[in-house]
Amino acid sequence: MTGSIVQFPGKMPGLSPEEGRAAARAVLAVEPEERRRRCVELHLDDSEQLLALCNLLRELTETDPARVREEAEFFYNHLETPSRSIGLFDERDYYLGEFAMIAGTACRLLSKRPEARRWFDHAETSLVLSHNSSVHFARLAYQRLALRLEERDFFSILELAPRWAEGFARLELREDSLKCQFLRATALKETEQFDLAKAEFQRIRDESRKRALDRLAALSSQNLFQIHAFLGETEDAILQAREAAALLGRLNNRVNLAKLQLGMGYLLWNQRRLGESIEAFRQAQRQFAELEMKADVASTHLVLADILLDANQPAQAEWEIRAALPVIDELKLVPEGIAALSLLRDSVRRRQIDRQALRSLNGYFEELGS
Amino acid sequence: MDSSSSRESRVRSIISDASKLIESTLVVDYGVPQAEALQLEQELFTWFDRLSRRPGVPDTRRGLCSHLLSMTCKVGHVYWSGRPGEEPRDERVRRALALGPEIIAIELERRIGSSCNLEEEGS
Repeated sequence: MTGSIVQFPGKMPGLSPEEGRAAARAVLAVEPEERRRRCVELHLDDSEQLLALCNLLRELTETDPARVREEAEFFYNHLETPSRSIGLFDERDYYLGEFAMIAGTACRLLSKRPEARRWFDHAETSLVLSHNSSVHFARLAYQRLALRLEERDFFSILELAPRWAEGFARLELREDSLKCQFLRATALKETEQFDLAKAEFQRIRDESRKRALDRLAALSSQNLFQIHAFLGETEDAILQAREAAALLGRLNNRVNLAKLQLGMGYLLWNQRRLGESIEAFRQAQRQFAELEMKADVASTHLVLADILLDANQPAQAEWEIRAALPVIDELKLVPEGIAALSLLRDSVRRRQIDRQALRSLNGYFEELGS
Repeated sequence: MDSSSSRESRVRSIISDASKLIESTLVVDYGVPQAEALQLEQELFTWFDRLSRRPGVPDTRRGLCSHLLSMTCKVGHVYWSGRPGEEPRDERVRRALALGPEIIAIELERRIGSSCNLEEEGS
């Protein structure tokens, strides 16, 4: 224990919790440049406001990840340079760590993976100095695990997620424990262990309902929808989709509403309703574009190409693939699918699409749609 | 009662129960002068109220209270770390600094557990 961890306060905080919440909402409506000019007037250093901003941005992450990434970066930079005296005891370190973790989480949703990792590293350097650091390290570990899921490292998920679930339970953090169990269930689904995955998602959904964890209940229903759809259990699938849509709509969870829409596209495609399926995928793609989720836009182009080949429209399919390839390159999305990507690129150049390469590449993307 | 107001009332009740113990810890165990101890106590309560609104903080009374006691001891310890060259003369203060804030916080939890009824309120 040294004096570097707990700094002695030099002043008492200003805003009340209610004022802090109102000020946080107001400050988000002000342009960043203007914020810098009106720093004192807008109470940018006030601890209540910073706490409210963290909570607000965390809630908005699945509504508008691109905006959240920008805002979290703004407040991180504001606190970081020049070094300011903020709040009481560990609060500056906590806010720095929390804004960095929020920025990283938003980057993860936007498939900006190297950037997400950098933010998580930054978060670690501050949270290590904050009170309750073991819990914050565990929360960071969850984010890193979720990143691995998106990279389709299922072996690591199946190995580590149950351990973290137990760790969170021992820290009395039931929701975080359930979230780790959710990651494991997703890995089971992606490795096609559908019966096990179904049972797990049902259990997590029921437990989430009991604890009023609406987001997790909705995401479990969304995954159950995908499993039922894949197994051709249409009625069950639609039931789950309705339940998920109602909850996600209430939460304004636009990221997962778009993913649910994508699932509807798959369901219709499985039923060979190609026209409706294409329309469903295009709608999902528009939603992803609004959210600036470029990787999901690109992956939907590839799925559309596959359906268009089914619909005997090779020229359209080629257009879809050409639209996807620059984004895949830009975001370096499928390092493990580089061979399939190369085959696909060659086949487009020859104007004779390699269906197998297209499907392989789609496989690497599947996680983005789940 | 929604979760926010139940959290607020839990925080208020912990502060009310722990107030005397915190003050005496700062003054007696850590040798902080009374006036400074009172100011630090107020700051600890403000910090604790905000801590309870961070993610990853348990919502049980016992879990929350242990964070307040732990920070109280860290603050008492740092009070002396920030005064290089000054050595406390009081044996109790020397003991607290030698054992470290984690051990003293455990002792406090035992004390408050018996005197302030830290059992969960029906939860």
